[in-house]
Amino acid sequence: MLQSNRRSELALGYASVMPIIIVIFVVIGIPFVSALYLSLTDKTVGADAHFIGFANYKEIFSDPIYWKVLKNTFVYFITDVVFKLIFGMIFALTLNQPFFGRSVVRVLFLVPWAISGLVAALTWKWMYNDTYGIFNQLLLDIGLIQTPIAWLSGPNIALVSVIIVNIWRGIPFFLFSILGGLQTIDRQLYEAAKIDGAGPIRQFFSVTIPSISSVIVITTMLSSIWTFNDFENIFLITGGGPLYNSAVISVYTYETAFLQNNMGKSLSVAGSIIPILLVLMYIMTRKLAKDD
Amino acid sequence: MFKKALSLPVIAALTLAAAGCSSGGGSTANAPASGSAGSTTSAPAASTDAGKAGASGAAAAKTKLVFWDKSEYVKEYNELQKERVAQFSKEFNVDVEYVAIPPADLKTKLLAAIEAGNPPDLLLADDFVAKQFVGNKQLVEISDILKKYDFREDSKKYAYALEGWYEIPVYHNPNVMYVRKDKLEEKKLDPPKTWDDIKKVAQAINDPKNNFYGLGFQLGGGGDSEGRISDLIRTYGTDLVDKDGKVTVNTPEALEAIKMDASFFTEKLVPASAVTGDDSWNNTAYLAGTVGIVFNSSSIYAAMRNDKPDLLQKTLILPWPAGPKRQFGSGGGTVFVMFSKGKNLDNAKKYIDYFFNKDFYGKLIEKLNGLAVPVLNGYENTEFWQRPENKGWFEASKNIVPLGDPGPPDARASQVVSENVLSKAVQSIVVNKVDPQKALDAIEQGYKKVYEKK
Repeated sequence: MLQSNRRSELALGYASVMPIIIVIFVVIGIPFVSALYLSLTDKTVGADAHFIGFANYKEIFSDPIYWKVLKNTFVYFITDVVFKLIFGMIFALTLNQPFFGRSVVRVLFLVPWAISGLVAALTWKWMYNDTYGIFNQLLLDIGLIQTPIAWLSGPNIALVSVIIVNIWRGIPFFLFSILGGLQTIDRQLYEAAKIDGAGPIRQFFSVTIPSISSVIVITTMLSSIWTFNDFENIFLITGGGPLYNSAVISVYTYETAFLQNNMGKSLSVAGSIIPILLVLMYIMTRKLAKDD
Repeated sequence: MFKKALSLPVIAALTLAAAGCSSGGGSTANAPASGSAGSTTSAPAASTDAGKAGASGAAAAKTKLVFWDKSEYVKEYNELQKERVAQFSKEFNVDVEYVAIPPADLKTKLLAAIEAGNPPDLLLADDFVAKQFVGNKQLVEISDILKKYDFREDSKKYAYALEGWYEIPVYHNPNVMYVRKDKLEEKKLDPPKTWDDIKKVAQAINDPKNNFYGLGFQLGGGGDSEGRISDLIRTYGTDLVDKDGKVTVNTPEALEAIKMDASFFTEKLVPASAVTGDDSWNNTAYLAGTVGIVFNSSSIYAAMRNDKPDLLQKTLILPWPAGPKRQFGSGGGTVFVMFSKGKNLDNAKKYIDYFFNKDFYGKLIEKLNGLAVPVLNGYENTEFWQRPENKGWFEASKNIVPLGDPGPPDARASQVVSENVLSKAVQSIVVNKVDPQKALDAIEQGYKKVYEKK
């Protein structure tokens, strides 16, 4: 009787999760496996795919442009995430303190996150312009530079320029995630720490950080995945140029697919970063499971 | 079934990229049919028969037409086209989905639509975009339509590809050189006629301290920078490919030509952002008054006429310069194509008929202020094209050299432009200080990759 009840419970459980498993299989599983297969073909738009083994992967791994772009991708996402975390933390701590006009400031901080990526990118592109952009004009006016800086076409500065934009756009996500975490910390913990003689820095490292560590980890991991795959920001501002100096994997994938019309190779570029993303996802889900 | 499943990720990826990568996307104007279908009262003469056909079928179910157009710098063009589409929709009881797409986004959206098996029924695009689709039987053969109208002989070069006749010429789009006349007068210089003159003029009028540069040339890829470098190489005496499609670019003359192009950038005769500037960059730079010489279609002329008459007064419009060996006219054509997988090809053909109505076509072309020159005979001697300010544009359209000339007219010429082979090579000299001979070798390699692909 007991066994029969358990069996029916089990059946009900499976029946309940089956729809979502089917949806995941259809929406994620099939396209993912198919994309991996197509990365092993010579697929171009409008033509049939022919299996060519690992030729696409061999080609990209022997291409110096691929490695340059991969390096840019790491520089882009690590720098972005680190700065977004630092600034997000500083601003969250500040906005967690009571002061006049705090609500207005909080709303203003949300603006970079809320506005359309296209609008943000084009506005920054305009500000970076070397002939009529505001940055060069200001620097020229105060005499810091003699000739305009090529923010978007200088080989050494183009990547920095797009990193700044991504940091600007991403800070609110960290800020409000951390702010949410800060507001859940029991004030008594700080009072107890004060009684034990802890100063503000000690309180920060011994109370604040441990209390919101899971928020920090999840926010950082999510932002890492998004930043790793960021396309819009770079494509609209520099197009990945000059000569791939600001290109990341997503932009290179686009170029291979649409300018070279080489879908198979393009999917192999995208597929080559799956292991990296899997590691990030593993860390994140492990942390979530631990917290549960 | 398996093939269908395989195409899913590509469609999804292409669709997402097309949506996400759009810089603003195209404007969509649905022109729904009215209830009084088939009315021919205002139908133009040439369309009367077709209009009657529409009327007789008024009781039939409303059909559809998906028409993708390029969004033009001259906004009157899309407005007129939209009006025409609305009239067509009303007269023929056809639900028309008219989408104007920025040229930079057109290829991406087309690739996504083709892979999804859902291309537009009718596309109006630049010849070099359309020619990429002549392979793999993707387009409808149009020689019957070509016979129907009195096309100028020089416009048929857009229609022809090695694979057959697939493009219907719509208008010529001549390219010219814009030069700041006031700057020449200031320095007492003659208008430039050769590439050497251009460099000398640019050096003389260059004034970066006051935010003014001699040249508005860019290297960010696209038709403008590829066209300039290609023209420079050819006027120095080297064809990039021969008539059989054999790559012939690696010569001492071509080496001198790309050194010349790189020198415009290394000698800082252009603003720094020119290295990554796209096709709209030179328009903006010239209209902002920050550069002295640019090559462009009449879009700059039209913009000056409408918004900057003072700048137009200070501008000379000249033919493209000569090199040490030759001189070429530049420009391109705009064409209609129909995709064989289109679901409403009959309506697409009807619309082409409706579009080429003599009155409408003439009016549309005139509205474009020289951006478009007619591809049909019978317009050259009209009052509009005889005006001094328009005559030059008509003349320029006669000398347009087709893309990939003298190589075979096929998709490969478009593909090398799309891959920005020339711009990247010159960029490598300017940005990475690559030896010009190595950059030329890279051009040869890039061209061979496309032209020798089996």
